[in-house]
Amino acid sequence: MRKWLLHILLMLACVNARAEETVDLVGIYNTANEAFAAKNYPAAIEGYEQLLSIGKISPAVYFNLGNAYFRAGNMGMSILNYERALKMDPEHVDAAFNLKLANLRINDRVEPTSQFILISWYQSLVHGRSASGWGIWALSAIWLALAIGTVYIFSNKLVVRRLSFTLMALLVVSSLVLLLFAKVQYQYENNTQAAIITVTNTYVKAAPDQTSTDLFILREGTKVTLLETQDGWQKVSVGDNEGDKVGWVREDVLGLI
Amino acid sequence: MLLFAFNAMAQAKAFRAEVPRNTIAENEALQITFVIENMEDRNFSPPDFKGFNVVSGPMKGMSNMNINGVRSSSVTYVYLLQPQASGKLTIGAASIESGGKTVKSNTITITVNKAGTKPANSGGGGNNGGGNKGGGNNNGNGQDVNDYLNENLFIRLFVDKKEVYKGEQVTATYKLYRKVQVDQYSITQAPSFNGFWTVDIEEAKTIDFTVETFNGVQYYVAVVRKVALFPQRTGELEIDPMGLECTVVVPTGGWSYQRFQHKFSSGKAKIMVKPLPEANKPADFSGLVGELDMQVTLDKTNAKTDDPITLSIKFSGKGNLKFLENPTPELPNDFELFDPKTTEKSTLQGNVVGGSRQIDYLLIPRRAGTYKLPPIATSYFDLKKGTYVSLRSPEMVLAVEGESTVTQSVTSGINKEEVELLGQDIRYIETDDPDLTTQGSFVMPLPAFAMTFGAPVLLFFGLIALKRKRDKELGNTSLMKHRKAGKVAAKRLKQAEECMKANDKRGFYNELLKATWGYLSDKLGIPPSDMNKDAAISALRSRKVDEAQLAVLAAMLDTAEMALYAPSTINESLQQTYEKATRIIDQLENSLS
Repeated sequence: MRKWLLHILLMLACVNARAEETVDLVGIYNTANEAFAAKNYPAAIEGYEQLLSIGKISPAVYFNLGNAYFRAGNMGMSILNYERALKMDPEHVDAAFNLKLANLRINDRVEPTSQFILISWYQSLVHGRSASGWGIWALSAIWLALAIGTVYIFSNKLVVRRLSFTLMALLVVSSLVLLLFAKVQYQYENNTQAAIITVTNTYVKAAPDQTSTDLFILREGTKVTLLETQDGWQKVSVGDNEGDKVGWVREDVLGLI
Repeated sequence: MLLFAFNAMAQAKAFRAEVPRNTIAENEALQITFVIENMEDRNFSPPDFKGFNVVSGPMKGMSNMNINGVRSSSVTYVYLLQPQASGKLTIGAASIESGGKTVKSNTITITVNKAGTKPANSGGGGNNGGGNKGGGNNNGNGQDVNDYLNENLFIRLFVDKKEVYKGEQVTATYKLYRKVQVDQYSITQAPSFNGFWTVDIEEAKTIDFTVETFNGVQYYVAVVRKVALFPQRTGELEIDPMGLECTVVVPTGGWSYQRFQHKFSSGKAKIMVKPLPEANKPADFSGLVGELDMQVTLDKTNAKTDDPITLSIKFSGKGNLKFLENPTPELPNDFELFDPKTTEKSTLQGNVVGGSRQIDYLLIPRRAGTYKLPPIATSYFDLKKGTYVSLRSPEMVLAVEGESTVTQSVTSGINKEEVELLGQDIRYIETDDPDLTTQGSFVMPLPAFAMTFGAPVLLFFGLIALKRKRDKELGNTSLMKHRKAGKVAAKRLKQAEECMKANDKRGFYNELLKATWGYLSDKLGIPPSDMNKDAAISALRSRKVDEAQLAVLAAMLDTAEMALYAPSTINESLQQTYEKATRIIDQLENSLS
């Protein structure tokens, strides 16, 4: 028991230390916001990108950076950053709205994949909360189950025992489900499955080789699904019918979401 | 009919120059005849004809005659001259060697007037007709006229190859040969060259003769027509003959000459046309047979949208470039491609037809991007190598910058909601606390999370173990018995039920009582030795068990004991007793735990 307490205390200390570091970062963030307000978009972009290069991210930074790129006329980067904001915070309404507008400005529009309703419901449910969020829920459920389990163990009353046992079982099952969600979302957050084309256009090749046949052209702002990597080349697919438009592009034309 | 009439001064030796008249116009030809009569004719050397061009000549004529026993002979050399300028011109003396001496002719002075002062008169002198008619026995050298003309005036057709590939050039040349003087040509049969595509190399408007030896004889030779032929069909093809009709002027000695109409033809030629080999024939074969070179250029490789770019494809080579098809560049549909402007140039290298063709395409990029212009490819049949040769331009890269100008037409799949969105602006940035985290951050490090998650499970089992241990330490075995009493009772009642089914009354009541007493003993913590009905009832009463239940229990125990010792007094069936017992134990189990 004492060990656990120690752990928790250490963790709290870490959180405090982090809070101290962010003071300067928030300064950069605010300066960038001021530059945006003053319509100095290149300066705003520089500020937000600086935060990202330090390794500090947040949906707000991505969203604001997307706006700055939008104003600067760089639709590819704008779309990329809105997508990143939405990946971190799937419920970011403004990012979703601005992404729609940015997608209207680009030339090649790929219709979004239409899925079976249950799958899309499941995906919106799982991606609707961050991995941390799901993790906290899972932990809460299991600890609550323990509390109720303690009641079950030490109670002599049959009614109390039965009720507490049922409740505990339910909590254990739901904590396992929440843990699964946390795992799925964690993988989604830490793996990149999609990317945005960030150059004005690129030829998609039949093989990971500069001399191979050109299949088709992809344009700035197009979202592609990543399939496999090989020697600086990335196999991508576009659109909903899988296997319909698949080919290889250089990794440097892609912005990973 | 006889030709060579003459006016001879019998036996008199003479060497003189004669002209029909001494005054001519500048554009008129002058015929000069050197007549040698009754003299040996050796080493005739003409004067230098200063101031004149020699149009034709010399034409030698000879005649021997016997008039009234007097033999006479005459030799004529005829020249046709063209004055170079107007004015008084003197034609110098010609010379011959005769009897070891050099004899000279007379000189003649000609007055050349400005052109048009006097109509040209090609007719002979007044004695022309007479000469003709009076020549009944003037049997020149005995040649028939047609034979003579055929020998001295003919046209030949030459082809440079007898066997060619389809599309390969054959050169056909029509050459006119003459030794006689001709003053009018007309083509009576022009060849049509069926099955060939033709390019004229030479079609004489004026016929210029040069001296050439043919079959060991010198002729005046002129090319009437030279044509490059490109066979369009395979198999044996005929090249048509060319027919001519000429007016031949034949001097008849002295001042006279005679005209004849002569018709003749070149005859035809045959050539074999082979098909091009099918093996290795490229799909993009242009149809050109010969040599080809291709150059593809862009006038710029960096452009702005809507900025016209010229893509030039230049072909040059030998062969029939007319056969070439214009290649169409395959462009991404971000370009507008206009119909090409084609400039052609034909050249002749010797007799080989060739040339160049430039095709200029106008492209207008409509969208920004970096584009590749796919190679332009064509192929031709190389005659020297005898194989097909493919040409391929290098890939070119074109960078286009600027605003795209076709956005609206491309986003045609736009729906109503999107139309409304188009008019709107993006939502403003967030300015409150950004809540910065690090990439891929989780609520806590993964091992810590696993431990935090696993801990309650371990704790749960730990607590169970703890409880058991504590129970044991307290030596509270009665508690265990208490806990198990219900299960033990249920087991005994099961045995009683079996006895009931076997109709073993004694066994049944025995088991029933054991179950009930055993249950009560375990549950109430009373040792079996101290157990009796009163002790049990009072213990149950102290645990606040309902009086009604106690009464039912007491009655059930009485019945069972009575049945064991005095079975005849019992009216209740085994079934009823059994149900009572199970019910009461159930009820006690609920109120005691």
